[in-house]
Amino acid sequence: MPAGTLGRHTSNALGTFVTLLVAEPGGLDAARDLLTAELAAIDVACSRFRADSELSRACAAGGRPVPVSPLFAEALSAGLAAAELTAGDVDLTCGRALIALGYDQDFASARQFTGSLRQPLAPAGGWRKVVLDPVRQEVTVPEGMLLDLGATAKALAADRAAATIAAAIGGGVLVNLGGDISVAGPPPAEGWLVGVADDATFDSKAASVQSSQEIVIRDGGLATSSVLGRAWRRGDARLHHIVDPRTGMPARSCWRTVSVAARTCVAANIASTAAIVRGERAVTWLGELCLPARLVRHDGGVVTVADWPAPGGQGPGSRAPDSGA
Amino acid sequence: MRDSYEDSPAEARELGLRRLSRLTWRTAQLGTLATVGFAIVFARTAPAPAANVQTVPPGSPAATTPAPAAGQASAKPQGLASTRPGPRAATRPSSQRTVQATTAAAKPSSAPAPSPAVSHTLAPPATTPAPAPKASSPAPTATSTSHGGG
Repeated sequence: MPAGTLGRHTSNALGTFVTLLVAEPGGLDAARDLLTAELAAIDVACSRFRADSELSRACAAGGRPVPVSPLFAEALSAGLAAAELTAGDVDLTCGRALIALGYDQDFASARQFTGSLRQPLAPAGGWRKVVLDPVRQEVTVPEGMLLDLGATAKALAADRAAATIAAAIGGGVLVNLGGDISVAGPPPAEGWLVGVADDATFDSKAASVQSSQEIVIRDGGLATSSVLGRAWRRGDARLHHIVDPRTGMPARSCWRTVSVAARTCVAANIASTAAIVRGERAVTWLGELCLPARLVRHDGGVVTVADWPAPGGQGPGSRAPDSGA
Repeated sequence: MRDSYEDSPAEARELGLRRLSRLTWRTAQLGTLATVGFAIVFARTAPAPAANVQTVPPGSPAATTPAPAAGQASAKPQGLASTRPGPRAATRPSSQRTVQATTAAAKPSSAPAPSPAVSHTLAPPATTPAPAPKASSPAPTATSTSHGGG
């Protein structure tokens, strides 16, 4: 791929890195502005760490209906769809569970504290109790329940931004929000070359990650979930952010990393997260859905599903996330 | 109109019955008109039924065991990945469950969304990911990790 001819912009937002690539460099400025606006909007709508976010206001309304923006309604819809499509394995009502586990502020801050857990574990509050009325544009969250749209909102932002930018500049675009990738529009002639990382090799000091495999995608979304990427300690316990809704504990999975390609980044994210929670059952589930996936066991063994490409001949190389030429 | 009833009782009775019949007919006409009017007014003013996502039966068996689709998956352990590498542009089957999560009323107006009615489905990409070119390939332009929280 003639990577040098791509327009490229990198930044940080939503607590992670952001990469924007456009096939036609002339559209980069407009694309960057659209992406910035989209990320700002999703943050003020869905952040769990902002008291002024719509999510925080809905959770603090004491069980009363709260008017919300179309964007928040869409993000909540994605979260509820994730719960339904995975039979509750991906549950947006795990906010209280994450707080109990110590993930009570943005990740960069939360991982700094290593004291013991002080709150009792809290299973998910139950996604069926959350009511979204899209006609009245109102949301009702039961009193005491905390939502965490987390990854689905980020994936939704990637999908929305990619679609918006492609429509605006009329060319191909790739949006990467912390590893959740969405592409739209006509891709470069040789497709988008993407490294798939196994976070066992992530170097937080150098912010570098070693690609385990490099693949080419042309449409849709690609997401990776891992029990290693966002992990922290509380006392003797090693914790991570993918919660089993039934226990409120970090999921005890046979997989350390799962990458999935799908029609959208939201779908890829839902599937990769659910696969971590489902463990061995995920292989059959992903196969029945025909979702190309790569699942990595804790010992490094790899299982591929539904025509996930075979490893190429090139060896992995250490590089910063999205530092391609 | 005749008000005197000096004719025979039978004739008077016949006259009364005709008046009653006309009155009944007019009343029926008015009733019909009123019913149609109410129906029109109701149709124009009644709110549409809310498309609440919770109306979809959650956790149904289909959510966990969708119907087998064409192109059965292959599970190859320990790095022995798919034996069908290479880019393909085949359209994938679309037997996946779809959740109609919002209606058009919930579509954001600030920016164009991917579709007017946002539906979420666990569908595969239109084009299967392909292996990267082997020789002298440049560095990847993007990296998929879990550091976004996924």
